[in-house]
Amino acid sequence: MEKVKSVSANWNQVLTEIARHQDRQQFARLYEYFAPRVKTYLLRFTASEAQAEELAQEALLQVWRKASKYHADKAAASTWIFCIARNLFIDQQRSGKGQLEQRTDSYHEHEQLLNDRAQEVDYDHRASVRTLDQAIKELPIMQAQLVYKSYFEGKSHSEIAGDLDIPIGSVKSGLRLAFKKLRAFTGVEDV
Amino acid sequence: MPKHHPDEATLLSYAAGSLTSGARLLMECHLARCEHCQARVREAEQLGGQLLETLQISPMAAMSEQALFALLDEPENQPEQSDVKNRPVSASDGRSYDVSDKQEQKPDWLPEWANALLPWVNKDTSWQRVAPGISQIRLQDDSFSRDKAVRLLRIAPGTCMPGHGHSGSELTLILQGSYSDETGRFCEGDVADLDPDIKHQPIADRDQDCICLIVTDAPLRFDGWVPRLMQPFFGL
Ligand SMILES: [Zn+2]
Repeated sequence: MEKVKSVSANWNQVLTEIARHQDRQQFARLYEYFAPRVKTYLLRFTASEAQAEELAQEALLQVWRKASKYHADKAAASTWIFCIARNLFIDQQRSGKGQLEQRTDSYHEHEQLLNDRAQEVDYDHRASVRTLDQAIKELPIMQAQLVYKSYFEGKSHSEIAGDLDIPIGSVKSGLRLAFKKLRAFTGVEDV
Repeated sequence: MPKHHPDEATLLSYAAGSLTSGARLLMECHLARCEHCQARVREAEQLGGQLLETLQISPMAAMSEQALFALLDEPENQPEQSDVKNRPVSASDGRSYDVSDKQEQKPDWLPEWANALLPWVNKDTSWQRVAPGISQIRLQDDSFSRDKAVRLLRIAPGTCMPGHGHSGSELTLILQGSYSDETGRFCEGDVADLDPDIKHQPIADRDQDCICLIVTDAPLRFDGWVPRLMQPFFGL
């Protein structure tokens, strides 16, 4: 695909264009930005890169098909796309198709990824994303790990408690605290 | 509007997609009638969207714009019919099961907002007696493999449940009636989401049967030897 340089893209706007006019060029931009991220997300739950790639493509195709249901005043494009990818993962898990392997690498690896990404230019448009990065880095390491395991490893409270060898009560209170702090950075009021 | 809500950590895990299937089913029922929790879930989903954007990219295989546009013209893959028929599918995965033909079979104790339970129960589903004043229906599904037990409990008015603690999570959703315990009074639509270190002894209120959906992911721990004898009856 032709490399599209995304400068100050407002993805809510882009998705709205896709919703209203079935704008294919805009979809290509959205695809190029989100598919590789959705793939990374799904890689945590899939047995192979090929499967993650296939599911990421499916997720973005669902974005195209369901675009008419998107309303920018109700949800950010990233929220909407996250939900589609998450539902695909849940669906896959439920149907037991392609035995999903759950990875248990540490949060530190993820933190490394966050740092590497600082060199990327094409996300500068979302100041809030950087702020969230910052907020995550400022969380106590245990809380960051709880958030990571919930969103990117798909683990329940008991499973996390088992992984980290801490009581379930601590998992819940840690997640509660992290949610409270991060919520301040998601700018929910603006949406 | 319910008064007792799930823990915020549970709402976050629901949004993250990391709850067990049984717990997700219970949450779907509660969310169907709780705007307060819907708003929290939206916040946690928004956090998910932003976390998605913080992820490092994994390059997709190179594809021309023409090839991508060709994909957009392809018809959607329909889920295999047999797949859907053979197994109850709840609403969270976006594939709706046919509720209309189930509606007639709806048990009278099942409130409208808990229709997500229809794949498992109808008006002929029989309650299995587990102790005086207590009966249950165990819900079975392949996808409940990460849950210890997903069951409906029917408690006769005034019945005192054995006091117990938990070694794992226990989520309780009231479908009908009410009960009271050390942590408060729970009515229709309320969720009790107790930390494992909390021991409680629920007593069903006197006016009618109390029916609840209970999802556990570790065995209940009963106090004393008599309740322990009951443990096998709960099938835990
Ligand atoms: Zn609620």
